[in-house]
Amino acid sequence: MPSLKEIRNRINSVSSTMQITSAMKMVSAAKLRRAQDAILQLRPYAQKLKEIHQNISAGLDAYENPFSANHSNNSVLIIPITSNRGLAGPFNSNIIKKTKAFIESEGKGKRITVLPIGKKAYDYFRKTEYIINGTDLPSHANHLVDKTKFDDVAAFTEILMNVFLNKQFERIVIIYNQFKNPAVQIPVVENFLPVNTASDNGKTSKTEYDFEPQKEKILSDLIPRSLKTQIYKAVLDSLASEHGARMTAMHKATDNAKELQRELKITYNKARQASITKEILEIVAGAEALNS
Amino acid sequence: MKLFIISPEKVLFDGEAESVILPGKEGSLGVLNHHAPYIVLLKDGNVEFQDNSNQKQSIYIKGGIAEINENKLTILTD
Repeated sequence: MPSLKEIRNRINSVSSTMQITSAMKMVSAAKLRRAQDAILQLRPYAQKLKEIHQNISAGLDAYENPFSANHSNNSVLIIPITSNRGLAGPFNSNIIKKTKAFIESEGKGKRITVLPIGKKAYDYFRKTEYIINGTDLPSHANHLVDKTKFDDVAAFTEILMNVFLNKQFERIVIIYNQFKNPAVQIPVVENFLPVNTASDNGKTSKTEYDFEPQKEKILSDLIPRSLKTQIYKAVLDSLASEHGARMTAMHKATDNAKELQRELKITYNKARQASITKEILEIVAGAEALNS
Repeated sequence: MKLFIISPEKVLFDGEAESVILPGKEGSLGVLNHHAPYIVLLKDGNVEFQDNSNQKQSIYIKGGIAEINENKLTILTD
């Protein structure tokens, strides 16, 4: 049995760990609320943008635009979105796993490039052949994660649109954690470019709109706008997921620390009692020896 | 009419407005009550309107797109 002092030290270290994890849980909870707010703020914008998009493309049959072109040059750009910090449970490793699985299943015979958003994915893919070295693309976009601003995301999206229009890639996908609720995040692979024009034909609006300028010109403004919104939404989702995942992980850690502390306290009390009993026995034995 | 000015980060304006002047890409245009359904591209400039207390207001937008339908004017901007 370890000595009393050793157990006391362990109890102290466990309870200070517990303090840290429960503080981190509180911080994550506050940040999660802010991240969820940002998602809520984006919703009316994204909703309206989709409506207008549908209204315009409803009247047009198969329109040509440079963003849905098929370059077929076997180059795929993958953008995994992770966090800059760890201690968020399986949040980051899920994305890295998903990215690796995607490369294995769809990357056969293709030239894969990875442009990570978030330090964790960058640290992982930095050691692989997929990372970008000295082209017109940045090698990472970690700055987008901490203070997410639409302007920064828009600038980053412009770069992506340019490399696609320059025919450097035939396909761009983003891999991120979709936010369901604070405890559940779903890693998803989402197509970014080329834009799929075939879908949106389900709903036709009853209203007859007038357009200024022509529909085609509005579309060429609208598509970059919705692409930016798509990336922005993915980053926000990932951010909310990160804080949700960290909150859950820290909650579990706090619970585990509590359990550990309880067990240690029992061991400590047992050891204390044993030592007292031993002391009394010694005293009694000593007194007996004097009496006889 | 109802006027909404929305950016991805927040709602810039949400309320009643009397007459709205938009910085259209092909020249500015005024919108009055019960305008016909319309979708128009906007360039950088000021959206000017009178709110329901007859105060003149002006909000700067960096380009965008406006939709007018059912006496509702929605402006999407960055």
